[in-house]
Amino acid sequence: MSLRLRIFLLFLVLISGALGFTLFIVNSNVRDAGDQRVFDSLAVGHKVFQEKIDSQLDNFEIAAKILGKEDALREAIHDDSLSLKTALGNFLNRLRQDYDADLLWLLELDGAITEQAGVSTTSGEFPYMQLLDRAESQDWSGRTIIPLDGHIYEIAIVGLFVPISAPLPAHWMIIGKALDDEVASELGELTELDIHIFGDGDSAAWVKSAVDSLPSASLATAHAQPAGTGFRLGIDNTNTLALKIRLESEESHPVYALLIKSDQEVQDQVQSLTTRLFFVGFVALLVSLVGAAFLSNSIARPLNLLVSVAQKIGRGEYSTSIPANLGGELGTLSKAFNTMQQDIAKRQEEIRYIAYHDTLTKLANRNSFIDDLAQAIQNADNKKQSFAVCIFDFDGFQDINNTLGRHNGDRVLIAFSQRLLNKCHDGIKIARLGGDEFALMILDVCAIDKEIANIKSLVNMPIEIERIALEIRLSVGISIYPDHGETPNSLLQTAEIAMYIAKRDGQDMAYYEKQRDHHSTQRLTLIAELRSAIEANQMVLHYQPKLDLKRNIFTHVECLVRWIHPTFGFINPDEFISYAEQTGAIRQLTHWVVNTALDQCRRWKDDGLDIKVAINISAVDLTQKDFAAGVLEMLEERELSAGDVVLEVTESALMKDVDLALSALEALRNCGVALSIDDYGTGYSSMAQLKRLPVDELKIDKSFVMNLHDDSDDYVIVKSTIELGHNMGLKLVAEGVETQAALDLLTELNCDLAQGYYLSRPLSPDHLDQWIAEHVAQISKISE
Amino acid sequence: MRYAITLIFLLFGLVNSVLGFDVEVLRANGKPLAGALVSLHGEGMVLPESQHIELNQRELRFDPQITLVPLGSTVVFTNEDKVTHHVYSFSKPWREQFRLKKGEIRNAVMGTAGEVALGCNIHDWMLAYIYVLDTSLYGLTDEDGHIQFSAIPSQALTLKIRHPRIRDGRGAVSQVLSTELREENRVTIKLKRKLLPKRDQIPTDDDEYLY
Repeated sequence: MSLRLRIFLLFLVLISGALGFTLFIVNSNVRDAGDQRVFDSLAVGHKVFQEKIDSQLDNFEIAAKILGKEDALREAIHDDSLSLKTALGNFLNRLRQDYDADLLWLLELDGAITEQAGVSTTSGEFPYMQLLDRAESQDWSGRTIIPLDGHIYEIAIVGLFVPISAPLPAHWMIIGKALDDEVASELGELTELDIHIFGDGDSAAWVKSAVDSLPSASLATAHAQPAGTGFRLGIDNTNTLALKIRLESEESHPVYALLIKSDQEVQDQVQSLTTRLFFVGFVALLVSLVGAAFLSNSIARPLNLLVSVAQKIGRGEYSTSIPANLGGELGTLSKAFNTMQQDIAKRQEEIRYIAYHDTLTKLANRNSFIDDLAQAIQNADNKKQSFAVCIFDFDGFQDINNTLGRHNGDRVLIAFSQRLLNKCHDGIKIARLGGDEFALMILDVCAIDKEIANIKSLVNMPIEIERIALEIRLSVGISIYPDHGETPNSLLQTAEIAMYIAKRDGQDMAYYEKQRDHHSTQRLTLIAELRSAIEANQMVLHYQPKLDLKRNIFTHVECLVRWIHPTFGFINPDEFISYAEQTGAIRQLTHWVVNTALDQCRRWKDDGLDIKVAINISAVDLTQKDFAAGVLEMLEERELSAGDVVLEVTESALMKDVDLALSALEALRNCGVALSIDDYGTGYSSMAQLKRLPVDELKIDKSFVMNLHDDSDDYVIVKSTIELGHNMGLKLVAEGVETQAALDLLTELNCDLAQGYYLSRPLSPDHLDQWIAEHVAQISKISE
Repeated sequence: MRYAITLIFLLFGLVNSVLGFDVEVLRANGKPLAGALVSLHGEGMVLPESQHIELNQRELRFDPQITLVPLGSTVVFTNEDKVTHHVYSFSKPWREQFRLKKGEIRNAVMGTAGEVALGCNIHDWMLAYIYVLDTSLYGLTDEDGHIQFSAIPSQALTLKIRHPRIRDGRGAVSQVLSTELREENRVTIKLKRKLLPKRDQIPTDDDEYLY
């Protein structure tokens, strides 16, 4: 149900409910009030009626008292009966004129009738003796209304005192008047009521003011009601209210008056009032409903507007104008909507910017570039054109990060990006794909050379970071659409392969060539998977034993990493180590190698063999601050001592930056780890440098050892190296021993250790176990 | 009380008799009724000699207001006031009315026993009672409601108590004097109903008949 309809219905229900309730209350109250008015007028009528009768009886009483003092009457009492009768008749005549009296009786004190005038009774005694007793106790006077011979009389009775001051009266005197229809009519006119007077148990009223008698049913109702109550009298189905009162009468013969008034007039007024109220209520209802319709509309219309705006916002339209002229809460809501719309649009813009831009360099990112590529592919297809995709990165960027810190590496990237942005124009699109890898799209293939030259020219000038002028060298790989790829990803992949080829071949740039060894290029891409390869357990360590020449036992093994690719099989370390060093994956690799080697060492120890492991590490490892601590930790984990491991670093790597390696080497040395310089003799290290290095061992490069017995120069070099090393307190290891003669010569020259194919090839773990079993006697044992 | 209790001794032989008889009259509330006429009636009783008994009109009152008169005696009305009175009686024993100018005297012989209520037509509040007695044994009760008869004859007697305000029997109560009562020498009459109220509406400092 719509809000508009709900508001409208709510108003409808509330207003009509309130009106209905009001009408009901007013109607019933007015009706009750009408009845009450009738009852009130009945009560007033009662009062008037009572007062009328009271005043009449008062008059009778006064008249009787005066008459009682009349000498003539007192004299007449003692005359003969006829005289008394005529005297009473005379007095009654006077009373009739003055007081409208109908009877004048004289009684003995005991109630016997002395004489009567006017209305008389045939019985010789006054029939209501209680009245006499009551009057005696009320200073010899009383009043009542009595039925007598089928009529109703109001009478006053007073004592007749002779002498006047006597305590006891001589006679009773009664003055009275018949209450007949005429009297009732008079009272009825006076009180505007219909008056009926009746007694107990009588089936008809004695006296009535109306022409019509009361129906017997109504009289029965009246009989049933207690005196003093008002009630509804069903006469002819009209609305008639009645008040039953008991007149001052004898206990034995109670007399009641029924005061009746029709409430027709009042009910008519109520009816007309109700009708008017109903009309007013109806008009009010109509007006309210029109108002409710307006109100609900004024609320619902802007809300609907806002709803449609919200729906548009949901669809991504942020430019809908929202009415600003609304007042109150809706105005606030509307403004909030406007603000929200703007905020969402702004944020969307930010998100879009972040999604398509590299936050570091503000260049477009990979996503953006892929979008651009897709767009370019479409355009190129339409125009039957081609375009070029270049990927390039810095050679040795990892070194910059390692030596100067990632923060400075970022600064280099930012500075370079700034230069790139300056070169930007319509014909090209530039993006940073990640790390130091950038991409360039050249829409016009004819401009490839020019654009690449442009890019290269960016690094003509070194980038200066913290007063260090860094020479940057770029390797660029290029692929052409549609020749080298038909999708954005394949274009990027082929360009990347081209870049690796350029790197491998030491060239500035290379085009992707399909014709080229597909296998090798594929493998080049695989090198990028090195990290995952380590995790996927594709790496294996091979071990080449080293012989202690003096003791003629094998004391060491050199650990050599091998990559067995599930598809391509054995991959030579030379192919991926340098790349690993460039990408930083070398750390992970070294970590894996050290762990694996130490595990092996531990197993030998457990088997009682004392075989130390020599592990090749990269110069990159040495730049790692916590390298030494890491190695030590790994040793401790396996309860191995520092003496169980020898770390080998190639001379050329070491000599590139002696100062940098020095602290790491010293830290390792201090821990007791032996250090060996690998491939010694190929790195042009000076004696002075060698002296500074905290190494324990020199490993003479195999190129000198292999032709030892044929070449006198090599012999001299080896001999002097051994002597020199020994003089410096170093151990000497010869590698590349391939003949017994070479072994003999080395022994002769006092070389400490030897390794080579003659002694053993590098062995896979399985072969090693077998080899150990065969040579167990010649293997160093843990001395007890 | 100006009237002392009168005791009349009869010297006739048939009165050889009981000595002393005490009558006590009590009101319904138990208090003694003073000033009530107590009389004993029997057949063939010797009446006292007729007398002249004064009944004055003084200071717009009858004085006395209760007069006990033996049958056949003469009541002497004397108007001592400076105004005319109009004395009347509608009572059966003596029904008469006359004007009595100031200083005038009028005699009336009471020939019938009974109660005579007197009024004055000019002064409504004036009220007096004459009890005409056909017996020699009578008197008014004292403050304590007592009256003592020193000797009563042994014949059959009826005791009558009368007072204007007695409601019982409309002003008169009578009782036959039984043997038991005689032997006890005393009787207490207790009224059943309370006294009638006074109606004369005059200052009450000398309303002797009320007591």
